[in-house]
Amino acid sequence: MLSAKLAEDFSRKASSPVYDEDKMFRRVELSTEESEHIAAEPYSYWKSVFRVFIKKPSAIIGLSVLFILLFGMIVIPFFTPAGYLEPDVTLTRLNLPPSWEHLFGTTNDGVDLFFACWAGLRKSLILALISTVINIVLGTLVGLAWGFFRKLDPILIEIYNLISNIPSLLLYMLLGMVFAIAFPSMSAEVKLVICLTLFGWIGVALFIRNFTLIITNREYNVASKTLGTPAFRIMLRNLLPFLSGLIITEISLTIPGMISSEVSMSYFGFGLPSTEISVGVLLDNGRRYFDQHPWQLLAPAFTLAAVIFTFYLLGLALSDALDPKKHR
Amino acid sequence: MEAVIETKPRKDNWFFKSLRAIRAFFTNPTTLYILKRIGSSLITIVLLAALVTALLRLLPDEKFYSNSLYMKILGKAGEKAANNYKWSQLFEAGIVDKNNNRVSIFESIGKFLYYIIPIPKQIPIRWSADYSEVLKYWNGLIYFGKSSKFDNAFVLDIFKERCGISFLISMITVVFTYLISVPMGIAMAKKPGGTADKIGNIFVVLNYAIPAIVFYLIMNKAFGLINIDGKSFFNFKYNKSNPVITLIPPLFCMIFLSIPGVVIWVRRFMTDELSSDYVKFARSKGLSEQTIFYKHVFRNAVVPLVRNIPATLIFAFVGSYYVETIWGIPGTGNMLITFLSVQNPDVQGIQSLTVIYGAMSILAFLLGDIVTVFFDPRIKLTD
Repeated sequence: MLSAKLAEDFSRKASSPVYDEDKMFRRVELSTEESEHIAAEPYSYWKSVFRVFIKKPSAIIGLSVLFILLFGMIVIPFFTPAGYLEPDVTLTRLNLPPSWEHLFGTTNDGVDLFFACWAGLRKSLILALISTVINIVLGTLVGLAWGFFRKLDPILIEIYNLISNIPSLLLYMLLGMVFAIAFPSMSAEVKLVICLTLFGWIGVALFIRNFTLIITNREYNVASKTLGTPAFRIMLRNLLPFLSGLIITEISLTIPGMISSEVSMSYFGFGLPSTEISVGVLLDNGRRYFDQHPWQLLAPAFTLAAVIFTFYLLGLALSDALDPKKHR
Repeated sequence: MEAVIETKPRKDNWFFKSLRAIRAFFTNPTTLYILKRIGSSLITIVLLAALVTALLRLLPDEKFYSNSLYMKILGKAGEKAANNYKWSQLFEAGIVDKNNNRVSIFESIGKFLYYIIPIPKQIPIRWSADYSEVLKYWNGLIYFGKSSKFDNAFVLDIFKERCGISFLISMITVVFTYLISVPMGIAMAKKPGGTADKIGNIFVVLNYAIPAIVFYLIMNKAFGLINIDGKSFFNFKYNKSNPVITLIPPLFCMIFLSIPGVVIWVRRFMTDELSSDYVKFARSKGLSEQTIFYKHVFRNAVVPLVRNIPATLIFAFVGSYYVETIWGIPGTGNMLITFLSVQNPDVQGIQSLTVIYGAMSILAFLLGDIVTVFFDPRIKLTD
């Protein structure tokens, strides 16, 4: 009944001059290219992350401080007056308090602390970045496998227990002897990176393992397993994206931590020699003379504080932005 | 026709009930898993003891006696007395035996393993001047060695004597840290980017940006033990007769410095959970924000945090080196570092403390896993 009425209505409209289709509509050519074109911008996870990231005030502050630090690290060493980074032989510049000539004062060797801090920051940051990247990459890979494959768990737990319980000081003592005998020409920087990364990754691996254990039996992972997704793909596509925020937070705390542990390494004779200039060496030096010349500790401490500040803010903003559920 | 299965009537008196309960307990996969873990942990402890003994034996002999003292004796009393000094030092370190023959690494390992395996034994601890006869024996089950530091006391006695104050300090620190930082992290996570989040972040950044060593040194200058030319205005030092007042500065430092480490992670876990589907579902069901926050989100976010509770409780017995040195607190924090002094390492001290701390950390690891499973039943430790 109803459809018959509709059909009649339609035919009446079509035949009447007012509803002439040819006059109302323009026929277009059939173009596959145009019909396949997607007008909406394709969704890209990383673009979306960047859009959210760049809007956060903490990211803006962090990026600008990072820019200033990078700029200073690269440019300021070129403008260092001659001899300011070497021990003063004329003994006129020793232990000077901060003044216009020496912005952060001088050390007990007569090294200008302002220029030393920038030069030291460059060296320390590079070393810290290398050690952090090695630790995090190795730790994440081992940790994912450790948490995901239940068969590996008992072995790796015992390896962890074994490694983490040997006093590190004893290991460093022995390592120092090995280096002295086997690689006498190895540079102090390489030794430091080896010491920081030799067992540093196992802590990261445990951290990742604990979180993998927590999320590996969540519904979406069980579903993936049921569908027969290969283990490697589950780790890469399901677990790693979930962990990315945590890993970023961990990185932002590890980089300054690496610079700080340069100080403790020099206790065991693995820090850079005191003639080299790095934030760790300056801190260690300043610690000794803190009572008489406090600026010798405060200058490198402020430099380290700037680094911690930058990486903390960037890590906070980035790990918040990495969660795709908060993008809209 | 269905077959009728005849079942024996269950014997239901208390004896069979308890027998069944015991059988159920021991065939439970979790119990089996824990038993397996304990078994492999014991092997690990034996390996750890062997490894640390081997590593100690790799150190050169010069570490175990003072070369300057040797030269002094050589100059004053001749070669025999000097060699005697060297030999007695090496003998105490377990490198040579009574007849001046070198002990092999495997012999050292075997000896230490014999010490720590709990069987009744008799161990010589004091000799006559020329080490020819034993004056005193030690009797007992597990022998943890005798230190050459801390007035030559037994390592276990030193640890027992010192762990009380360290435990007290650590526990107060942990309780206050969590009391302050968990609510702080929750308040920050409630509205990322809000006022509480901003204030909290500023506090965490500023606190975190001070390198710990600088903070301790400044605190040390303000109310520390060492005061140079009278500039320190409190000169606090730990005093056994007045522990309440004298423990305030070190406790303040420790609590203050450990807050950001907890706040950062509480905030991170809470914000991660807040964007989950179950939160959206709870919200669409019309649950109040309070219920969602404390019953749903907090339950899930707290899982990674409770894992650390056993470790925190167990490692409360190990104090902090910096704090104990600065305020002169007689705790366990500086034991290992004293034993490991680069000039004169204490073999038995290092061996024993490694085994004690190793057993503690293995226990903490196992308990951490068990607690995690208890709080989140979805997690499975077994296949």
